[in-house]
Amino acid sequence: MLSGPLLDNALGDAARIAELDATAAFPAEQCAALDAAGLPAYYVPPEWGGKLDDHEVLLRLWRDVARRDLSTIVAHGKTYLGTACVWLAGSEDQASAVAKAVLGGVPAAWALSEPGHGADLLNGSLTATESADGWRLTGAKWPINNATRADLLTVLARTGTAGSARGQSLFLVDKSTLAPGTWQHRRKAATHGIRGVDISGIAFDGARADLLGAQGTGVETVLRALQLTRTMCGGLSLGAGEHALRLTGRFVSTRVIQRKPLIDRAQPRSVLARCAGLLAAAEAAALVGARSIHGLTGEMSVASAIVKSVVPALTDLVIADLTELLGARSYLTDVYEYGAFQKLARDHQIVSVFDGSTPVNRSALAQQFPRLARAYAAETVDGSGLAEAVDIGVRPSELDRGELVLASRNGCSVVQSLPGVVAALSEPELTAMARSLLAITAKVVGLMAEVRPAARPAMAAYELAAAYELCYVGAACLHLWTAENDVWLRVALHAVLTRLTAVLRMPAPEPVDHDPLAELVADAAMTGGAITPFGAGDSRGH
Amino acid sequence: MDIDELLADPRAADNPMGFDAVLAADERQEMLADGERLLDEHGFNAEFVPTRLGGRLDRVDRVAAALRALWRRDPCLGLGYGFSSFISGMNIWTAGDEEQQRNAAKLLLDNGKIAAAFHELDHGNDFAHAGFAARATDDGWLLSGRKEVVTNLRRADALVLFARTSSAAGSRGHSQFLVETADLPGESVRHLSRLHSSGMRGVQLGRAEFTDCPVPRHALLGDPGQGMEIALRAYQVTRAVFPAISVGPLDTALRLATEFALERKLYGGAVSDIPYVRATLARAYADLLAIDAFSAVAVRALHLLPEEMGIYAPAAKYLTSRVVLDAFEDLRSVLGAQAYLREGKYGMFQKLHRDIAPATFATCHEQAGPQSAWAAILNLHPCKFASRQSVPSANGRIQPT
Repeated sequence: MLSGPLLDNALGDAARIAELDATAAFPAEQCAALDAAGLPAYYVPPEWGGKLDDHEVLLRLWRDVARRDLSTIVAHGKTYLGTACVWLAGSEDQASAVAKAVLGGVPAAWALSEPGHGADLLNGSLTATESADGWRLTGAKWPINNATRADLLTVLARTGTAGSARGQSLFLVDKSTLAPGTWQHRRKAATHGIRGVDISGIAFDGARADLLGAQGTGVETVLRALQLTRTMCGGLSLGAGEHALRLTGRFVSTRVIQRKPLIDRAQPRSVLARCAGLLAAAEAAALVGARSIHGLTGEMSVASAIVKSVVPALTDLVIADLTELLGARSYLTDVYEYGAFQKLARDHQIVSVFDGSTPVNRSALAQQFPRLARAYAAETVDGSGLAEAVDIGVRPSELDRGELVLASRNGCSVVQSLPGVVAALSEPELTAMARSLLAITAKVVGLMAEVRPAARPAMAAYELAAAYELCYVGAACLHLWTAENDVWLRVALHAVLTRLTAVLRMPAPEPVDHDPLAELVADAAMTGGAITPFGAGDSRGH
Repeated sequence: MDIDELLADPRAADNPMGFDAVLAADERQEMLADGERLLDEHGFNAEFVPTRLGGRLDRVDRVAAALRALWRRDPCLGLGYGFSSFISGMNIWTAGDEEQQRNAAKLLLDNGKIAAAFHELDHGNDFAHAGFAARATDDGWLLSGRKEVVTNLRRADALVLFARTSSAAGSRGHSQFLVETADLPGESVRHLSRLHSSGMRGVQLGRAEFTDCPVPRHALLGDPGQGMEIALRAYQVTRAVFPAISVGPLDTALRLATEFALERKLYGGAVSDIPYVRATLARAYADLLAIDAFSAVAVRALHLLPEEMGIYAPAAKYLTSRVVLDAFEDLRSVLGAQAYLREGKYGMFQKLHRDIAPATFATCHEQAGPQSAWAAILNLHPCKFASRQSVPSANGRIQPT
């Protein structure tokens, strides 16, 4: 199996990564090294010869690359996103052909966005028409990650009435088979972060394409695939957060102000520990979410929206807090590890935008409020599925892709099992925080029950969605808590409660001791030890 | 001078001060040359010079309004043309003798620039252990050490330098010097390559190594050992002014997001029909009004309640910088991918977001705080220094508290 250190080494040195960013050059040698290391196999399900049998493993692999360079994994990982629909809806021939190509290192892209209406999947204007010799596409997709580099594209195109759920279909395009003149690339966009990544576009003019799945099922297939890809995006945030925490941990350990290292001062210690707690909380949510793909497949419409929304949001908070600790070194591009911090901060800002933005995911969660409220009241829990979702590091059962449904029938077992988890705790401080989480969750779910379903939810629904996400994160922390990871998860739970009470405008929780975690994180940053409870050591050995 | 009129329509394609030109200069990591020329032509620097010395600075809210208009169009001009010389000036009006003040005023009124060379990367705000030192000689001082992350260091006509002048412990070990760069012997000042940053990309952040650089006795600002005290007095003003300025970029960001919401169609309607978008825009506007009100009071308090500035200045600075950044973050979620593109109609958004990013660095730390980039770039120092201090009145004289 691939390991973090192997991926770390594949990426080369920080100076080169900074140079690629400065010149907006594609991380070609980094992607080639990941190909050589065998990462593409983890994008292909085992039935077609790949190693995608455990989404926790893929999440970890992405994190291992992202903690070195987020741009590289955004570029490389697009092949996973671009082919996710093929495994769900493709014919045996299509899946075999795509699997063979991906295993051979061929990049793929997922062409959804169009100029002028990015997030609106129902109203695309790229059109597919059927003729005697098959389907033809006409129209443009932009901005699309990998649009120029990819040989394979899955393309969403209109085949029926605009704005209707069954008016779009998916197509598979192999550029190498297209007739000249029927397509052309759209130039690369200049972006704020991920500057070297191939964010470009493609325009078709009667280009041939293969229907992927039945006509009219395009949006449904995309929404089901997004339940996988959105969850995996958590790995990108975890990597960026880890990178930021390590850079800042090293700085506060070595920086001496008035004859004392910063880490020996109360304020930097506390900020560092709080950030480590938030990152540990994000990790708990992302891991449970990724494992839910196998254990709680039918609940992924909820879990994916939560993970895609909350993990980048918590990571953005971590980066903003660490920015204050790092000061000028978070801003300058040519000092302190080649300006790595400002690069990761810019790169990471795309994660809350692509593959469904935070408001899009909160809206998707709000659509499911009535069912979530009912299932919470009924304490509906898929016990065996939940056990598998929280059994970190254990090889999960095979994913039944047919169980990915547009709306979860059971609500969200991770949150709905909170009463039982809290009842089983005994340690006083942790129990007090857990009870507080339980009380707040009951309140949030009660308010969710009062929200009327609407195509355009009110602002209050977005805020309740944000609160419910944090309840999920807190529940994930409690599910994963052990005496061994207590030093992290105690602060993690406290940080989540602090955030939750802020979102709900309630009084903040009692403080917890930040010192043990601050020391652990500063030490891990200096020695290369794991910096999160379920993280890996860093082969750079700083 | 109406700055907005001078800067003209930001969307006009042929406006050398328009968004397209501002973005293009940022891409080249250059100051907007046409902008600097225009500001020179209209003698913008007079805003930083007290009226008794021939400038237009008679009340601080006036300079705040002028700088805000500049920051609303291009924070690089706002800092690299504006704020940087304003800060240097405040130190000079605070402690300079009559001749120093007259010379500095003339230099600024002639469109010159004065850089505040305070920062050293290895020491940050830890002034007490700063490495840059001045050694007294028979007829002046010899300066040695490094200054880094200094706005306009290389192109400034004069420098205000912060240097250790005594090895004794305590707050009186440093002094400030005002020197004209033309008077410095070239061989004793070695400019190092410019530093680059993720935001404020056009601003020229210089660094230089001084080796036994001779300066005359009369280069000293105030008395030996007064360096920290002068800086603290000047910061009372610059720290109070910055929140009022930071409204500028937020103003533009809010206009961009609103323009986008009205123009763009999503889910069969305008983006502005989506309740989330409406609420986010309204909240950002409320934030803007709140900062505007708070900062207006803080700036006027400089004149009216100077003895209370030790509270108002850091409070305004701490609260407003966080509110501004949070509002930017919320507006980013309205613009989506458009907030991430360095091109197109809304390309200004990401530039403003990058430019304003260091606003929180210099927030209130209880103890010797960590490195602060604003402290470096803007010389806005953490509130650990804030206490009962006198502030310069608008005529540049110190009013005891």
